[in-house]
Amino acid sequence: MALINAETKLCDVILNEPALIPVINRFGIILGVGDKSIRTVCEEKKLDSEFFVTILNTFVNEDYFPESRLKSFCATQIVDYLTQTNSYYEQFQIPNIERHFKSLINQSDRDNNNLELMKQFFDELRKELLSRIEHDRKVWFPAIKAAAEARHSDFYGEQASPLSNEPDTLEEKLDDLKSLFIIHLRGEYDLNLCHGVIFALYSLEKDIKQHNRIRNRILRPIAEELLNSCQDNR
Amino acid sequence: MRIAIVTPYTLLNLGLKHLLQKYFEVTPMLYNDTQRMLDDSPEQFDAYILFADTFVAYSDFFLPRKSKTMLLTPNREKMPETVSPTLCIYQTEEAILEKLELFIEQLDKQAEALPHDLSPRETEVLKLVARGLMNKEIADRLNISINTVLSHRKNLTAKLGIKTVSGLSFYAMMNGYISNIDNK
Repeated sequence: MALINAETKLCDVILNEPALIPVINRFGIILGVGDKSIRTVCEEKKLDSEFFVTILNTFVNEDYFPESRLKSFCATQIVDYLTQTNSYYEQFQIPNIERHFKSLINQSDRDNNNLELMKQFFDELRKELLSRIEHDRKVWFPAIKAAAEARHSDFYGEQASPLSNEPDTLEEKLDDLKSLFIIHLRGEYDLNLCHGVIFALYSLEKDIKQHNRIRNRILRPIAEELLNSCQDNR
Repeated sequence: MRIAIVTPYTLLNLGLKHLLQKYFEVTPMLYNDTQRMLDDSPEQFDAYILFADTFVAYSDFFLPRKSKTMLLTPNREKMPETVSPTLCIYQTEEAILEKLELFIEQLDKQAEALPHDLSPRETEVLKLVARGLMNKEIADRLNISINTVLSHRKNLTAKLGIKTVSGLSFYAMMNGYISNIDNK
């Protein structure tokens, strides 16, 4: 898809790529966007149109990832965006997959324990994601924000360091769960609900990939730099 | 799949690259100069597209790889029997696509050689991985080297499409290789 620019009409972008609807939601824009250009919408909402356009483009084009431009945005802005994506997983995507999964299991053959086991695998993945979100919310993001604002930098400097966490396996586990559905599923099950779960998993995976690119390749180096500058000040 | 396109014609190379990227799951690499391709670890490619004169000039390399090579030709007439599939560069886009499709299909068929069922040894390794044993422990248990364990694990991932330990555990439970109780 061609790159979006600030003069593009927001409605054309969304009509072309409905997967962006949750993304614009994260910026406080809801449907009924009218036919204004992105620049106008951003002015009305007091959003940085350059940041907005860059996020939309990286989301739509898997190959597009302008590292130096993304690093030029301020840490707070990036943290705010990632916070919004986290709450989208927490409040919408995960409950949505769970709801579909539960109905799928209820509506399917009782003897089919495949689905029950796959649900357990999903629960494991969900716990991993939720604990990462918790750590972001309580420790990592506040530390970065505080360091960026150079307040309490002595105190927070340590925690802004690239996560004590090991690199997570969320993307790989999501891939495996997809393989279990697509390659290995057996027995009787409700077709429609099964599709519902699979599509929801794909959309979560796409979103997490985008989130992780920004998290690992942009925010992590920024946080490291902040930490170094905090230490220099000491 | 990685395909090397080796002709001196930049625009021809770009045109082929465009078609391959647009319609196939292929990463094309372009070379105007055959020697440069040969200097650039040529075994990395799954296939090669080039003119017959290049094939002849560098037959030491290409002849053993004739089933992975597509020959470009300016001749519209049907070529007499050749060692490799051919592609006439003056054809319509549709005809070119059809030829490329056949070529890629044939390459996929060659790649498909790996059997899908797990071997008894792989099943053993799967069971132990699923129970949470480390590679070293598995090697000791089965009296094989760590490298052999690693190669079994690589095959498991390739055959099942599952990479993580917990993914493999759930697969093993779903297929009755281990019971839920063993695991937790």
